[in-house]
Amino acid sequence: MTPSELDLVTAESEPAASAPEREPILELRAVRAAYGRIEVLRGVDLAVPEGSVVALLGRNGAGKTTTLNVISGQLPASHGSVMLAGRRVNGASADQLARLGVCTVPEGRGVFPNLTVHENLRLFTYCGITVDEVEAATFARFPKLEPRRRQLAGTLSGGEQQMLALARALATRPAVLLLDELSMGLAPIVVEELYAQVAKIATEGISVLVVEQFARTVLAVADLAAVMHHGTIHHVGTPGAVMDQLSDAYLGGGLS
Amino acid sequence: MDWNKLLELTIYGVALASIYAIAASGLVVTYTTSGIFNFAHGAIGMLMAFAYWQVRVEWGWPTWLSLLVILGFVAPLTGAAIERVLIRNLRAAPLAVTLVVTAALMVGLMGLATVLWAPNRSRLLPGFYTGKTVTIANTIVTYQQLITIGLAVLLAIGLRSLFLWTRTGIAMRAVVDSRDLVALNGGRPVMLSTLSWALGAMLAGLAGILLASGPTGIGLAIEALTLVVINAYAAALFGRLRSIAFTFVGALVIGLVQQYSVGYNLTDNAFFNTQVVPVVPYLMLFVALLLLPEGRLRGAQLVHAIKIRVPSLRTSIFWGGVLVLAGWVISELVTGTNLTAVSKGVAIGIIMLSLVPLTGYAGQISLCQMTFAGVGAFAMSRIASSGTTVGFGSLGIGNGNPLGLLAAFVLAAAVGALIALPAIRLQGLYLALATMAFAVIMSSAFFEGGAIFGAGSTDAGAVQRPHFGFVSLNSNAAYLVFLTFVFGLVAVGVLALRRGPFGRRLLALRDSPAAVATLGGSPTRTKLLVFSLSAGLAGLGGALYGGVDRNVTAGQFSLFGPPGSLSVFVLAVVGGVATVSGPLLGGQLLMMTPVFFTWLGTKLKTDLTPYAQVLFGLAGIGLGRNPGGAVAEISTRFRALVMDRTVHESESETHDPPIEGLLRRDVPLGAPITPSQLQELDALLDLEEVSGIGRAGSR
Ligand SMILES: Nc1ncnc2c1ncn2[C@@H]1O[C@H](COP(=O)(O)OP(=O)(O)OP(=O)(O)O)[C@@H](O)[C@H]1O
Ligand SMILES: [Mg+2]
Repeated sequence: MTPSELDLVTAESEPAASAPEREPILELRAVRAAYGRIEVLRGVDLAVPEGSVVALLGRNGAGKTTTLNVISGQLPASHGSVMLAGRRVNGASADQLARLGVCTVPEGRGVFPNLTVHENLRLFTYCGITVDEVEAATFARFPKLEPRRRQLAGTLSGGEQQMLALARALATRPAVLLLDELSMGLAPIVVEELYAQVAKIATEGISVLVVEQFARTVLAVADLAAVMHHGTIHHVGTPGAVMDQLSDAYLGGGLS
Repeated sequence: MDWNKLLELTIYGVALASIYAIAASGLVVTYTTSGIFNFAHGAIGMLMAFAYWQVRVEWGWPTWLSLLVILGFVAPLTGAAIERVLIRNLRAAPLAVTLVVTAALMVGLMGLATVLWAPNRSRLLPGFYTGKTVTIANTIVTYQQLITIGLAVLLAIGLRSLFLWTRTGIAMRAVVDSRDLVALNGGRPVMLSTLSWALGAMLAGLAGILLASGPTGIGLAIEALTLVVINAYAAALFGRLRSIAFTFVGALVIGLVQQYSVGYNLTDNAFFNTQVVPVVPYLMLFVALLLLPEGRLRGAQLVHAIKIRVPSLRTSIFWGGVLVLAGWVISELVTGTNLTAVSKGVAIGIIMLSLVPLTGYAGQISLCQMTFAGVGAFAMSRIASSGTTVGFGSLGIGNGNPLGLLAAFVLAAAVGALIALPAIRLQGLYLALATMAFAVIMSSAFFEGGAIFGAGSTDAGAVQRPHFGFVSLNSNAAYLVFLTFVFGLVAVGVLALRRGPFGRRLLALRDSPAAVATLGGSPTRTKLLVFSLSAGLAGLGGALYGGVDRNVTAGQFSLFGPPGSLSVFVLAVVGGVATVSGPLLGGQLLMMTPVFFTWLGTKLKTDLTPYAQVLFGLAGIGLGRNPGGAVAEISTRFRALVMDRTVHESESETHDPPIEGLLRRDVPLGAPITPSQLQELDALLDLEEVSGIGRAGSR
């Protein structure tokens, strides 16, 4: 994809209209990355305009998780640039990026199973917020967690664990939120509930890049959608446009 | 019932337990946050005790200042430096490599202590408040004991608060769950690891000082002090290397059992009192490992896959022939002690070969190969003799009867099976610790004391060379040729084994025990077999090793040696334990390095032996950077030089990597950051507040 196409995409999306000439908060330019000698990302171009929700779709093994790993600093890009607010951040470590406001909820459960809920929340205080503030923000959003403060996170239900993981995004007020398959192994109703919170987070000005198999749920809250195939981005557009363009086979039936 | 004696022994036991607890909790702290078991923990404690002596006694500083300087600065800085230089590179390394690096560090530190504080004079560390006592229920308790117990209690509370109430402490526990997630949470796993090593070294130092200054009778002795801190490993295992609380309980059990068994002469049996009682902590370490429920032992990683190319039968026979030829040439050129050293190196090489199927192929770690070697030497000394040896009787069937070698193999293999049976479900680190405990127990309870290798305090015994009819091995030159021949034979056999179905099962055992079943074998039986085979080979090597001098001593088959099980393991891995050429190099390194240093020492008219130990440490440390072993490293370089410098391209053929023993990491450990990128990042970090990319809320 060329930069001009990117601009085009940005221009037609709604939230970008508020700041059409502003740089995207997060941008990947021709990013390549490999595990050992196996190249997984083969030139990824992707932009997340400030304050928008971008959905990243694609089949199993397309490289979605890998893309998030590169952005979050867990896997170095071998080529290309990762731009955060217009600055190249290749080579920054995961913890530096986290402190810079890139909040990642990784695939699987993004919580520490052998720590209590309270201790998990305690770890979210790295950006100068007190644990009381974190707890207040979390329990306001997810009242279910409050009675479970002293419970080990590993013994929470899957949905509660994801709520706890999302709590970090609520409490630390990051610039960019990266979500990887929040829905994994959860009942549809719980997934709806989680994405309702994601939509709410987005209205507060946090930019979200979300990877998801449940295409329908996520497209309902997304401003933009990108489709990944074999380590490159094939389509970018509004959720409606992407839905129309894509055959079911492409998303592995996820649209139905 | 003598209540006073019980109380007295209990107080002694609790005080000793407090020291174990302090040392063990340091071990737990480092293990949980870095995932690397620090074999050098005891040596760090020992070194700090000496450093404390230096400032407190030699320079006469006041006690409080000495303690502050050593425990507040020197120890934490040492720990942090070790983490920075060594441990950080080991995160993705196989377990065998991490063990070797920290074990080599231990030997290196012991060498360093010998260099700095040559054991040519006696050093005494004054106790704290010597002579001051209180009397509790008619029993005299020294201030030192009270202080020791008090410190342990304070420490228990302090560590508990750290781990429960501070963000750093919680993050240290979180690292155990997921290192990556901690980083994603803005934590710095690397810094946490440095911090934990600083703390661990401080605790080791405190334990070392308390031990050396206390009434334990150890004082400032390099080896004894190091070993006693290792006693604490058993305590740490009670807490399965994670729980500080259980570690304290374990320490208490060990301290009390040890004191009671010393205090109540349970039997009048001199053997029991002098040879079993000292190794009670190791017996408990062994028992703790065997009794821990299976679930508790999970998380111990296996040795990672090491890709090697296996030469064909013809190639290996060819190189075996070349080796014998080389042995013959050397036997013609070299004489005297050098010839003996080369021969011993080849014999040790055979013992190291026994680690190739076990560690190199099957990924199982054994720190007691010299124990098996000793058993082999013992069998040889009894069977292949004329029947005049002392103790344990003799089945002498004539001097040098080659059947003695068979007996050495069989007896050692039987002992190997005996230890493998209970230890069969242990893996990785736990197996390593169990075999280490076994080595210490065997060396104290079996080899020492004169019953095995001759009478009296010499612990030495005659071991015959085998002789085959008309071929005489009486000359040292002929014996060297014979040794290289046996080495070649064993090497060819080991490689043949690797190519066959059993070899495939061994590799499967390393990768996943479940995979063994898919190849039509039982993991348990495979493990038992490879352990016996390896022990048998080590026994054979031990019998031949004994033949070099026609004499052995108990010390040679101990953990520390020389040569000792630990060095054998370390140098086998340094040479490259997945190849058969690695042991050849490892054996020569082990035997020739001291020879070289002695030679250099006489030239320079100083004793350089301790420096050899330091060098040994450095060799192991160097391994941390080339985990495939020296031979693999050299051959890679050589290939790169000879073959039109296209190693990188040939490497990418995934089906048959031509790089022997080279460890393939799945994940690259961070791409190099260019200076310009760093600048940008710095700028970015500075701009955080201004530009508003930091927090959405601040916009
Ligand atoms: N640590 C790793 N080492 C080697 N290869 C890996 C590693 N992680 C992922 N891969 C490979 O990279 C490719 C892309 O993986 P990735 O996890 O990015 O896919 P994904 O799009 O997230 O798939 P899914 O929808 O199943 O989560 C896959 O072929 C996978 O096998
Ligand atoms: Mg994925």
